[in-house]
Amino acid sequence: MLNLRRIKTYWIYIAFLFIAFALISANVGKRRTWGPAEQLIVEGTAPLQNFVSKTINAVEGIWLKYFALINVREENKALKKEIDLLRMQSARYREMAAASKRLQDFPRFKETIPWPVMEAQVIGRDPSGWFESVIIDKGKSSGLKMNMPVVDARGVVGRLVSMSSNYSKVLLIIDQNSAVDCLVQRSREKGIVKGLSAGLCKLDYVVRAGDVTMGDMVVTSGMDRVFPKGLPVGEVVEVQDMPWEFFRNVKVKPMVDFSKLEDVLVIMKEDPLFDRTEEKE
Amino acid sequence: MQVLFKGSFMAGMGSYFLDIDLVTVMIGYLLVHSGRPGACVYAFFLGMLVDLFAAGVPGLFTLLYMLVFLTIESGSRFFDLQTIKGPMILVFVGAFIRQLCLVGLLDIFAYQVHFSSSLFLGCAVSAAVTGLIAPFVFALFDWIKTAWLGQERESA
Repeated sequence: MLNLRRIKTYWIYIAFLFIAFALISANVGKRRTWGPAEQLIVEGTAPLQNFVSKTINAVEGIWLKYFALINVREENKALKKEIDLLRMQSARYREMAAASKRLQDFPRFKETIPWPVMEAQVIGRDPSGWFESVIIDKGKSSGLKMNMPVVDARGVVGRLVSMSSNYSKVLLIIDQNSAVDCLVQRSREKGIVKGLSAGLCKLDYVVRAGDVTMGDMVVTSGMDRVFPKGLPVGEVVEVQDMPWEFFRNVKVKPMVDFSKLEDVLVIMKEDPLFDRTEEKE
Repeated sequence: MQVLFKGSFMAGMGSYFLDIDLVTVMIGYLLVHSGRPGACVYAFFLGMLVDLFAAGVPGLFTLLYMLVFLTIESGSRFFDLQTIKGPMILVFVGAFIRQLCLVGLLDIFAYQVHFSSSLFLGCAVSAAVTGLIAPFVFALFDWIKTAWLGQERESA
């Protein structure tokens, strides 16, 4: 019979290190969602995360209300929400106007985004400090599917990358693993928005002759089949041309303030290119 | 616990510069009070929990926390973890090695890491603060343990 006490302790260290290396080598470069065991762990720990998140929000709320700013704070909150909605509408009307200009020969066009949306709350954030993702309190049981886009009133937030029955992980657009097919609203220059840091993205693959200037709005192109067309992504804050590079160096400030992300909307739009076999595994 | 709400707490503070790693401190504490197997298992499974909630490569933090454990365990032969200086130094070294290995591995996995003096400084400051709070955390847990055991003995 195996006598565990005889196994030298360092063999256990080696075994754990080997498992860690095996996990890394098995998953590098692959798009991977939560397996059944991981979903079970998330289902068990996420309620605690939710409780802590709500506690922090409640304490924050009590602290702010202590200074008799109840009405002012509520009014401010309501006005900010209204402004965000109006901003989003304005961005969409600008997009429609731009589309209308291009489609002058066509007698009619209709607004797209015929998909329903589901509200969700952010209950946790990436604990690593290096990656950018959040956990929301909706999962498969609410009808969510992998790669569904996530937005808020100001713009694009990210997409669903892992799911359990009641919780999901959202990969934010500011994460380096994220890539969103976009175009510049004014000049229709195409590019890919990739995450750079906590408050910045970059618009890659804009050719040297491309017409991009500071202040330009960047919106989703709809070409990646994940995000509907015309959703605001960010604003161009820096454009640089390096003589040794083929593409322009364009920095984009996201419309969404990710440090204050609390409520999001999941657009119930399935990704037709998503490989269902990955989900089953 | 620390893994589950660290992200929310840091976002609320608006600080991504200072990365105080209580997991490293706990590994040091468990090494003293639960021995090597306890600390090793804790490091392994906490690493897996971080990998679960993080958006990086699965297995990355598992490997990093195992390296932290091995660093502190090897260093405990030279510094006594039951003094004040020992945990400070060992936790600092463990946290610093974790940060450096993380940056190195991210660069290997083709993440864009901009190596600069401010990155190095950020890693060093985070590790230093983690090391500085280690003796206080050790003392706090010792006090909780003593109070808990005292209550159990009284009830018995």
